[in-house]
Amino acid sequence: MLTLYLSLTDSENNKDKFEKIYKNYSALMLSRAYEILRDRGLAEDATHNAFVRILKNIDKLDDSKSLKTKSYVMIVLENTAKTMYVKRSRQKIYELNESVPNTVSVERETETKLTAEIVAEKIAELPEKYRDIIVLKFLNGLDDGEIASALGISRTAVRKRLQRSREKLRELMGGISFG
Amino acid sequence: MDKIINNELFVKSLEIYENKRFNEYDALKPFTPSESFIKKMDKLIKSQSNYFYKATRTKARKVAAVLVAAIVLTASAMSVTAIRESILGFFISHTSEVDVIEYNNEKPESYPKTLNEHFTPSYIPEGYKLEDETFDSTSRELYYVKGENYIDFEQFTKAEYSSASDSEFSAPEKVTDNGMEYIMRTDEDMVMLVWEDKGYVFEMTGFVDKDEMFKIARSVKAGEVK
Repeated sequence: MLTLYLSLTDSENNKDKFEKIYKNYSALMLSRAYEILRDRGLAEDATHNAFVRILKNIDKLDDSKSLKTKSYVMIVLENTAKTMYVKRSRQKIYELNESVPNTVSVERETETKLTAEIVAEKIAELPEKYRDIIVLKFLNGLDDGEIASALGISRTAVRKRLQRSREKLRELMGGISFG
Repeated sequence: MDKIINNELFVKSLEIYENKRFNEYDALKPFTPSESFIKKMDKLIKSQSNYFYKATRTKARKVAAVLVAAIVLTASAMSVTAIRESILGFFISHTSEVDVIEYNNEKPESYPKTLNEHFTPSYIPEGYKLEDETFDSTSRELYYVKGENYIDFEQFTKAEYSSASDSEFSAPEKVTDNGMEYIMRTDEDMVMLVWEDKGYVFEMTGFVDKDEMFKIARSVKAGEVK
């Protein structure tokens, strides 16, 4: 009886969490999906599909307004929209980020200490699929199976991307590793 | 020896990166959803309990399986024409980002529906240790690790098998080793083998050369279900 009550309470908490995520992020998700897909119907489909994926891992998410939750939600949305786009077109996906110049300048001749800002700049230089893996693994703390579910790829692909992201980031940071 | 970043600093850098990324989203145009989208989401919110379960390896594969598209695989592996080609009884669908391999289940009644035996490599290269083993009734995975390198061995029922991987791998080729036929794909320092034997599908990916991969594949033996 207690187990049933606890599972119901858990279920109620998750329902509440999901509703808050919908209220907090659906507008942003729709805008971003439209930015990628350039089609209203597809943008709505992608957003709905992303919410279904998010629902399957809802118990892994904490406070709906945290940066971790926002990262997770937007990565799932972007991957869902891009998969949809790739299935329909051969054209390169429009990247909002590509149009915004990197405003962080690095005074290389005076910088001697590795700061979070510098590492963030290096992360921004990685290909998007490697950035997503790193964010999901180290910021959101997801395991390989959960990352695979969020991105719609196999666990083998998750591990491979993680391996490659380590190599690339190590190159960018002059031989310094992470994680 | 490589220096390693402090973990706290690394997580902070990820937060900085994500906050910057989200600041850029302020430039996105507002989107007014349609009535049908609002109704659809309303329905999803009300029927949430149907979706609450932990993501398992099997579920992750099923999500991956929805990526299957009708695409042709050419020698260059870069075509996106709407035809799917079969190699050794497998269908391979290719996009510019992801490839999906599935088994051609024309006669599902003739295959085991569950894993009635657990197959395991009896040879693993020196230095690799079994780090993780997971299984359910239709799939099993053994994950061996040596430093940053790994060998991932998986066994599936034919109906369960669906594998989505990055399309950076080479075009699949048919290879025969010791009388067994494989689909082989390579990528820089990785080799992937997919093959069908004794009613099951096997997939193995690893950071060893082809000869070692085939040696491991040849050593696979049946054992009891745990």
